[in-house]
Amino acid sequence: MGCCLVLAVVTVTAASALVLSADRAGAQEGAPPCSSGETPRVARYKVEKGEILPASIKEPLNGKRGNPEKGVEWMADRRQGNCISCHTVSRILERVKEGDHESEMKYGSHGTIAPPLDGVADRYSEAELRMIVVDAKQAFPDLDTSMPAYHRKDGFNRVLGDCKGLAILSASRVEDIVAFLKTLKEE
Amino acid sequence: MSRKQPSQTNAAPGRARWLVAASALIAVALALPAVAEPDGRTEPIKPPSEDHPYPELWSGWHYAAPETQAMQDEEFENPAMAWNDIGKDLWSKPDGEAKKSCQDCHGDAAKSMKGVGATYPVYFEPEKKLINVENRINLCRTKFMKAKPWAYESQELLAMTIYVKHQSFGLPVNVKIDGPAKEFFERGKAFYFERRGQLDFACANCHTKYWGQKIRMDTMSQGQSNGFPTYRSEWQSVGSLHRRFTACNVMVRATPYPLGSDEYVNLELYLAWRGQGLPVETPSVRF
Repeated sequence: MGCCLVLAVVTVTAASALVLSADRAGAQEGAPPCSSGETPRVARYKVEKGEILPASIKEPLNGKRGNPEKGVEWMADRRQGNCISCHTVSRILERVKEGDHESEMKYGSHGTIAPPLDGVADRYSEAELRMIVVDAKQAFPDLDTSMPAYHRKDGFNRVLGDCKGLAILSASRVEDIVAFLKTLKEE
Repeated sequence: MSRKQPSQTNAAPGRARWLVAASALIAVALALPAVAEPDGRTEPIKPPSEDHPYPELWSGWHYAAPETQAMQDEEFENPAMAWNDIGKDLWSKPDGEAKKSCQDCHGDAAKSMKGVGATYPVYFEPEKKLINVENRINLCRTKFMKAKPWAYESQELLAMTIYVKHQSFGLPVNVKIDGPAKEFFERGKAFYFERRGQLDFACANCHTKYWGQKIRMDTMSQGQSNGFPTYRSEWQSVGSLHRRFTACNVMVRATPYPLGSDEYVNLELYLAWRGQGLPVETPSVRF
């Protein structure tokens, strides 16, 4: 409870700071997304041909396998992966408790514009899943995909100052997500 | 058979029932406004040409929550109408060294400005580029009123822009994209399809491919501009279309362009054309 109160206060403060800065500068909209220290440096990784996809990354980005439970959190978090804004994932939807606003806000309202991720581990290997999260444009070079590259350093256009050269997700968070995706089997 | 040819004895009560039904219908018809033309709110509008990027045009109103829709449509509920009132006052207020007001040259805005806002941005020969309503207002201020231009996003410029555009309320967006405007239209189009920011999205990645679909809590709109400047509850204020562009750019973690910049004015023309035919809704209310 105490933790939630603190969170609420932080949210309100952030919101008023947002409005103030917008009024002051006119050109400043939203909190600076990358100055909070959440956005990390990009790890080195080796891209190899996959089983089905033309690109895959065999080795974990930070040398160790991730934690699937944490992966769910990053996938739902609007400032992290926010994967469910576009993909529907039944196993995450199951976490919404009926009539519970907080769990609905956190795990609910999945998008429908990208393929559902149920059974995704039947379709791709771990190395391919890692490649898709790291840089979907390399994984699907012919698709003109909208999916952002979550762990790529360069090749972007007009990146906001404090985001330059940084990844959206850290290496360990990518691994957490990959660890969860690996469990999404239907067969 | 028998219903169509009622016997003489049944005719009188039959006609009475018909009369009752008819007068009820007339009463309902009088109570309701005439059947509305499609306005992109509950019925989509047909695009201006067959090669238009949208098969049907929908105002952002269509995707707003019912409370937001009601807030826009009730004149006394719409918070942006306060800015319209400020604009109305400023219209007749002399300013600058020339001690002139807008009214001194343009007279009654309801007549002189009717339909004008629906045609902007326009190509402006003296500067060999596009200008939007905000630019036009400041041109009048500096050139004819000998007054200082209003800062972009200042209360005065927002208020006057709303007041001018509100004179086109309900009239279809009708921008010119050929002739000298074409080059700038093409630049605006290129901007729309250019990916930018850490998330690597172009405007098109959301508003062309996925309009009408859910992105978490929100339904993606077509990104139409016919209601701007708009009151956004997220801003707790009215804001210009360029402020909205800035918010979109920052959302995809891209460096925004300055408010009033040529890049945004060119995009403004391209967007207006994507909504060509939608009625002007300024000032609208959005989330």
